[in-house]
Amino acid sequence: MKKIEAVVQPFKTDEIKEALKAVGIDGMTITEVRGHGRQKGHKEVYRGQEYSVDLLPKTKFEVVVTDARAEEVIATIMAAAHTGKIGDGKIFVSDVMDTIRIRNSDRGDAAL
Amino acid sequence: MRRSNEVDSVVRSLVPEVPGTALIAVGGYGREDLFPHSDVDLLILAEPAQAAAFNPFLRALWDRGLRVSQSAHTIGECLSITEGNLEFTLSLIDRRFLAGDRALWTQLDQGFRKFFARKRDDLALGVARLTRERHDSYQNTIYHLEPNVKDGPGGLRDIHVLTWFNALGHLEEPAAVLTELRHGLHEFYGRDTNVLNFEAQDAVGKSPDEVMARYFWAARKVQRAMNAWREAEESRSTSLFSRLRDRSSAFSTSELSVIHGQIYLSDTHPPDDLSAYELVARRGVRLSSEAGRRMHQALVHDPERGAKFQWEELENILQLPFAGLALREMHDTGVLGRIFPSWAKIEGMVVRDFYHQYTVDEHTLVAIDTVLRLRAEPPGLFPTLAQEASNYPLLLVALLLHDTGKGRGDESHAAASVRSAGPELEKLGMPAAAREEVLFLIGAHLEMSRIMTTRDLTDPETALSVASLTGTKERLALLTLMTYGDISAVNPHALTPWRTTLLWQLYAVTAELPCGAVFPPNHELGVTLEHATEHGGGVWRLALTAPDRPFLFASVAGAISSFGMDIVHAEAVTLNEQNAEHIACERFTFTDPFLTLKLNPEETETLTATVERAANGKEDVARLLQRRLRNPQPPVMPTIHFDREASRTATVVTITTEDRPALLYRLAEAISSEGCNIETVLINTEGRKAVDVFYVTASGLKLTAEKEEQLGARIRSAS
Repeated sequence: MKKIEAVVQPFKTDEIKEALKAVGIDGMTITEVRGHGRQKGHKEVYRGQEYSVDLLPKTKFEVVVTDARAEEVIATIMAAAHTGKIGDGKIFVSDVMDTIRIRNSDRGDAAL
Repeated sequence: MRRSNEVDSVVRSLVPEVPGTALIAVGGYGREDLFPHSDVDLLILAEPAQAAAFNPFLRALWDRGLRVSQSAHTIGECLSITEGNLEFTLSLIDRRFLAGDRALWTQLDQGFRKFFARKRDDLALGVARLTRERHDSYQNTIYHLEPNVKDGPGGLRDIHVLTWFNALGHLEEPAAVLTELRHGLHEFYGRDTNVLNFEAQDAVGKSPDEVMARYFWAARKVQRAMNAWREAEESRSTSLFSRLRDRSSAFSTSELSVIHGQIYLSDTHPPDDLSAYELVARRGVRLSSEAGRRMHQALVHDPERGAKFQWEELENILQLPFAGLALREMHDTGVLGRIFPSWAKIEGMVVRDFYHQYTVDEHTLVAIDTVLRLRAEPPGLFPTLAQEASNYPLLLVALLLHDTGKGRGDESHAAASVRSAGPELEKLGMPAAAREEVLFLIGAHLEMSRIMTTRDLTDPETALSVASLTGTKERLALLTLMTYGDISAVNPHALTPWRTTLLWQLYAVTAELPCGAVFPPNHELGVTLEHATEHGGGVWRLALTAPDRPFLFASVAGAISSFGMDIVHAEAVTLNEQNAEHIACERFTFTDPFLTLKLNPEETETLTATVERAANGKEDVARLLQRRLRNPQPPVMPTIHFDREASRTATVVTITTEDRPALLYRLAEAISSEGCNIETVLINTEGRKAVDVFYVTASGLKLTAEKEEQLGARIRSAS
């Protein structure tokens, strides 16, 4: 199993959610987050005065899928989240040791 | 009562006989006021060494399913106020003998009576403080969608407090309603749950609406009584309050007197106008409950009363520092519902969703409080916007009516609110222009919050659409503040830093469109030139909006340079309105090394006029520049970088070279001459190094490799 975490532009949230649903991913966690990567905080100008925006609003998706589906999910997120501009975000992929459904103790792929 | 009797017999059958000790019921159990699942509060009156003998007894009670909350104290401990344990002292007010040494009980009972009489004021002040803290944790309002009937403002806890200090008055009916609701909750959940949540609202009465209507009716009466008691206690005991009280009596008029920070009516007839509320808004004093009741009665007995109020009176109130408090008083006495019949329809209205915490009316009043508070905060992004905004009364009225269309079926509530607000504002005598502003704000109140999460804020099209929607910068500011208040009032945590940043960015990109005074940018040519000093040395800023055409950017840059100006920063965006010609917005920041504009103020007009002619294509910029360029410096080879990936729609051309007069003109001219279109420009000068970034297209597409080569060659020859 793989956990796919994608930090993306907020305005892409619905598009990505719909794209994931379209490929059959129904379970996901979506969080409003703030942070910065290479885009860093930056200075913006308002009425000639600079003010810094050091933590930029982003949306984080978390999806856990079987190994077989991981690449497809990554490609789906990529396609929906890409604008080509700075600040598009990043996708992190990690191994998940196990998944347990609390209600009935299902484990592993069956619990996804 | 019945449960209390049952518990009594269980307790008495199990309690051990320990000489010199007594078992006392305290708190709710002491009052014989046990709810099906509330705790059983016991006081073991004993010396520390004796208390352990009660442990098997306490375990036995737990085994019987009683949730026991016990403490063991000596009489001496009971008759002193211990820091941080005021609740224990208060629980002793409702004490009752259960078992053990009767003489010891009598000693406690009489001792506490004397103690209470002596310490009454200290205890009252402590309780007032605890109550204030408790109410604060419920945001000081009864209008929660899922209220706590015990601890919330206007809840059973308030009734206990008022009972302890003989201040209950005639609250038997409200107390009975709250008691019945709490009973229902305990039976429905089978545990000590006091939050009347959606699930319980469906279960404990005839219908959720009926349950909530009864709850609000009862809690409102209790809260009013509690606030009056608390304020009286606090004003009794602090010199600060007594000073305020003395000063506030100076606010009295012939019809209204202010006593102890509360407004009383001097006359038998309440004033016909809104003067009482004006006094609230001006001084931050509240109506006494007696005045509130009489104002309400006067309204009930005279159906015509609301018809006389005029916009000027309301506007006057809305400009005063405590306008939010005045609106709350007008809400409580029913005046607000009389002036705006649509308001009466949302009073106490519960609209169930996952986010809102308050009823519709309370949500609205919280939103108004929020934007009023911004005006008093230290300068910052939103506070400064609020402090500089004109027409605040219009914003407040718009907020007041923004959700009045809620709960009216399938139509969007913003549209429904606009429909009911129009005639009401007209009847109130609000001038047409002001009415138009208010109706605009109501109709558009969901837009910025939608756009900020669904559109790319770095795309100039997003800014343009908000600019077109709002039309003026004043409206943009008011709509931004309205959105701020509306989101804040959803629940105390709704306006996260995440949302705050998005909202500010949306406001800023729109307000800072490089179009100068022409807002929203349109096809009219507009040029503004201003002197800005914030960077120390003094720079000039020229903003322009115009219909886009080839060579526009180059011509304007050339025209500015022809006056000997040194362009240090430039931005340009092209806005592609559907089915219309494109609009260009450009802003140039430049220095004036020869002080031409400073020493010859009339030159600013000449410069502006020249830029206008250049933008219209009626000026031969190359000729203008000839004089400046007569002695060209030896050529410096620039580095030119083409990036086809960085933008979805354009090739990004980055040119780094040594800065020289009219450089920007030459580069832009070269790009335009090659038949390319400049979509966006970002120009920066660092010392003598110029870094110029152009987003370029040819025939609406990114450049081909061949085109890149031709353009590269032309740029090199131009610089």
